[in-house]
Amino acid sequence: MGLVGLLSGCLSGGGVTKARVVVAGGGFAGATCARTLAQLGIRVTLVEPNPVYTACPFSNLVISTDRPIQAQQFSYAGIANAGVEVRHARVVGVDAQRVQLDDGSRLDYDRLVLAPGIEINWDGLPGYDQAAAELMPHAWQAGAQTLLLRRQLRAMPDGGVVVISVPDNPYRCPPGPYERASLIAHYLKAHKPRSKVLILDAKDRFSKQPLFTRAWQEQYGQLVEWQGRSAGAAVVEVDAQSGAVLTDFETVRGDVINVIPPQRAGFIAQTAGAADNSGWCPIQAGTFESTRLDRVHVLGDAAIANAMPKSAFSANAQAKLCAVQVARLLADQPPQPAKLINTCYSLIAPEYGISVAGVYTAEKNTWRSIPGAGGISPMLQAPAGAPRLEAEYARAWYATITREVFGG
Amino acid sequence: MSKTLTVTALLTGVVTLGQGVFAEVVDQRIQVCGGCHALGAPAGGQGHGVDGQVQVEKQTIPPIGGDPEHLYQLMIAMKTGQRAVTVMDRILRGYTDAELKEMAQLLGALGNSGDPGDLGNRGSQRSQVK
Repeated sequence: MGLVGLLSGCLSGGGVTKARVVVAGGGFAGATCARTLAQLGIRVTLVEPNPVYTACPFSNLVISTDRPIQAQQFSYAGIANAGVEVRHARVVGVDAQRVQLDDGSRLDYDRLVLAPGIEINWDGLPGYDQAAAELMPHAWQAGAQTLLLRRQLRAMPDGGVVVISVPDNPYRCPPGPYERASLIAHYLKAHKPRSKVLILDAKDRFSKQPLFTRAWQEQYGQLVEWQGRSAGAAVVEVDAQSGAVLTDFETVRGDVINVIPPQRAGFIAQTAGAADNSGWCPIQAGTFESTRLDRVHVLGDAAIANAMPKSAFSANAQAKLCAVQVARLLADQPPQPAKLINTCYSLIAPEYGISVAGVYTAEKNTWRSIPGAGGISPMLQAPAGAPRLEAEYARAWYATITREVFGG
Repeated sequence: MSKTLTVTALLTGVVTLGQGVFAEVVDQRIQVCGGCHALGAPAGGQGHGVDGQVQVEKQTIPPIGGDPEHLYQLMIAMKTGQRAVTVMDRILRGYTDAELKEMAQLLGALGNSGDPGDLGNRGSQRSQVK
């Protein structure tokens, strides 16, 4: 028994099996957490409005016509089979004891996990509203927007300009805009080689920048052009009707305009009061408990996890640890420390992958990067065949994680 | 019975939930490995499409497990650069040797017998999940 306690932390407590945990949001964070809680024998209800989940990782390959959208879509049947009660409804309100659903019902909770992902901050970029997004898709929540951007790309004449507007940090998937630019260039190179991708960035530095910059030169030459904040490229307003975006200095027209707008924690985090003035949710690092709401945890893109990026890998890693901490807290056991990892692959082309990794520890209530660990794929002396292998690993990662989360 | 439970507890982490209900999850120190390596199950391979269609994807990331000492030596070889890999060197540098030894024990107990190397001798020693 002593050894059991030492190695794994033996939880025991009379009230645990009766405890109910509600998880709001069925993406990589929420679905993983609900599933792990069910494995722990805890009664868990997952509330997710959509009957089908459309995953963002790899959705840039859908835009570049290299992948069917169906490969991004998952039902919740596997999660239900794993012992999670799945409710397809929307959480519209939260108080200290229960959540209110849009079908009129209420769910009592002992602990609540909020995993709402992002919502577009429609007040964040003048001119960019829901109507504008039908003309200038963001495609930053996968699904109809992804397909809209693909249709526009297919319809664009050779010689056209694709403009991608990239917001300042923080936002979902830091390297995502640059992978998207790469894969759109991959499509254009094959089908519309006189065209161009112009990235207008609100930042001067971005994730995996040296790898992207070199790969663009190698693979795409003049096809990809990136302009940063210092060059005055930050988009400050859009005019969807005339097909233009405005920077401080000029009006830029595009044949296809992909506006990746400012974002914040998803709706329910805002309504519940879990988000602060930044629009994101402060947490106690080790347990993911909200610093603003008692017995409420926040995971994934919505949470302020400091050095950990807003990625599916991070969300999945956080969710598994959070489930253990929730179980321990319900059993009046102290939380257990654990390091977390993030590994994000990006594709320059379908067979050309790069990666960034990090190892993180919760210290002084902050998720910190462990110095000396992590970093991007080696620029020099990369082992031969590494880019192809990293593309293979990217696909393997996607297969493994989606099976772990949605399979069965 | 109690011996079985104790052994299981040692190996995978058992959470005891009142009234003799036992649930098993992978120890939190190695949960994160499952982000890529599919712990305790055949790795990758199948996705579940909404139409019930199973999507098969090529699996190249090996499962991890097997003899803890062998696993520990492999991790050290990757961490120190003796074994060429794409990403694991960057990740393993985030852990002390003592932490890796502990994780090797926990991973070894999962029952897989795979070789986690990649560029060094990819696939040559890979074996199937039990």
